[in-house]
Amino acid sequence: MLVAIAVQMAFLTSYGSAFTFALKPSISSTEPTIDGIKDTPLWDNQNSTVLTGINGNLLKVYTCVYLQNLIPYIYFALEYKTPAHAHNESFAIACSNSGPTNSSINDSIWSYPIIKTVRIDGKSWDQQDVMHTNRNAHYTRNWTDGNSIIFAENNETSADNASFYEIKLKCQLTHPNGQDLNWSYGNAFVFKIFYGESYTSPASSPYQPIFGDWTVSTPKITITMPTDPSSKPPGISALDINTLVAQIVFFAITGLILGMVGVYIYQTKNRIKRV
Amino acid sequence: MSKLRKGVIKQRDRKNPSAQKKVAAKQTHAAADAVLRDNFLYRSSIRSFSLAVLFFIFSIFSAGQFWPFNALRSASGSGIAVGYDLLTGVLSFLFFLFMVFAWGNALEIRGNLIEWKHVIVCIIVTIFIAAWGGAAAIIVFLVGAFGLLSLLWYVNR
Repeated sequence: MLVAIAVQMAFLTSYGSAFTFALKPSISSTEPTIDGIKDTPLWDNQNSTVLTGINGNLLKVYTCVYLQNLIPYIYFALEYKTPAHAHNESFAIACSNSGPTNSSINDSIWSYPIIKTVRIDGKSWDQQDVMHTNRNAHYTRNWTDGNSIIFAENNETSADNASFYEIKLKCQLTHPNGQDLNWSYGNAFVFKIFYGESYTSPASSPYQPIFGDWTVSTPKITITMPTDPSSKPPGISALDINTLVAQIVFFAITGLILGMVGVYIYQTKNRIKRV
Repeated sequence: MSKLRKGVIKQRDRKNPSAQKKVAAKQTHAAADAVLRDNFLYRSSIRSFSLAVLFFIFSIFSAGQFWPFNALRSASGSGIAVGYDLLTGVLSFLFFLFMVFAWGNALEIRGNLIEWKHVIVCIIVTIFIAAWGGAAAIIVFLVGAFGLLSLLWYVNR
């Protein structure tokens, strides 16, 4: 009996660890090319998790962070394996700027203030929560304002009939027209991936996803940002001199000792007459 | 020396003036060699001290991540943060190396030899800088200092 329980626990543990919906991207030294083509060695070496919630099909999510001019960008790659791809197959990455303990973030897409959508034809939409502008409704628009956020391309030619999406988002952006990602180093944030095919009529304005119909989603995913590369790794520093006063005092004391040696060397010339 | 002995030497020198000249010449050569040697040691000491000051500034700026090392540290990324600490360790060791050389040369001009107390002062100053740079910097410095001292001991044994 005990053996059976132990076996079950071991199975559950391994199952749980294999399907832990958490991502911990690391800082990549190579920038992934956003072209919808899987950079095999690069993405395969990045942090990833496999999700099964999208119509019973496999969705593998890769992520990494790349620094561009010292500004962090988060990269997502979605690999969706299905026997047949819908004409309007789309994924929306619904992001919050809150941690997993924030109770206001629930399973509804509307509880996420930031939604980045990409469709299988490469078209993308950005939706922002513009509550702060006193507009009651969310709005969606094509991401064409020249912002440095770059959206995805996709490619349906990879193995196993998988479509591949690549998305690049600026992590710490204060968007002038609304709220956007503000994922700081070392902190955890919640996001969720929604699947949908519903769009308004192409003739309508704005032409946009009908998120009310997008009910298929992954569980909530917690993403933990890497530590700030400009800070020292925890535990490696042996002597922390953080304040300016302490740094000046330290510099003065060590400099004084060095100066005393210098004076000693200089006086050597005066004391030895023959030099 | 007794008066008798001095008298004997004077008489011998009067009889053999060339020997006296030889001794005087030897003394002149020895004095000239000493001057050259001390001049060399002094110049070497000054050069070593200048380099020690240079590496002192570099190691302090590297350990404290001041300009321009802050950009290097930021660009290095978290994956090779230890690599940056190693750089601080190398700079600290070079500061220690040239400080020991400079001080040792100055002591030699004065007729003394560098002793453990001098080396320990250098180690204490440098180890604080290396500690500020991180654990990896301390390890690099200690390994370097141990190697240097072992080499000096082996050469002078």
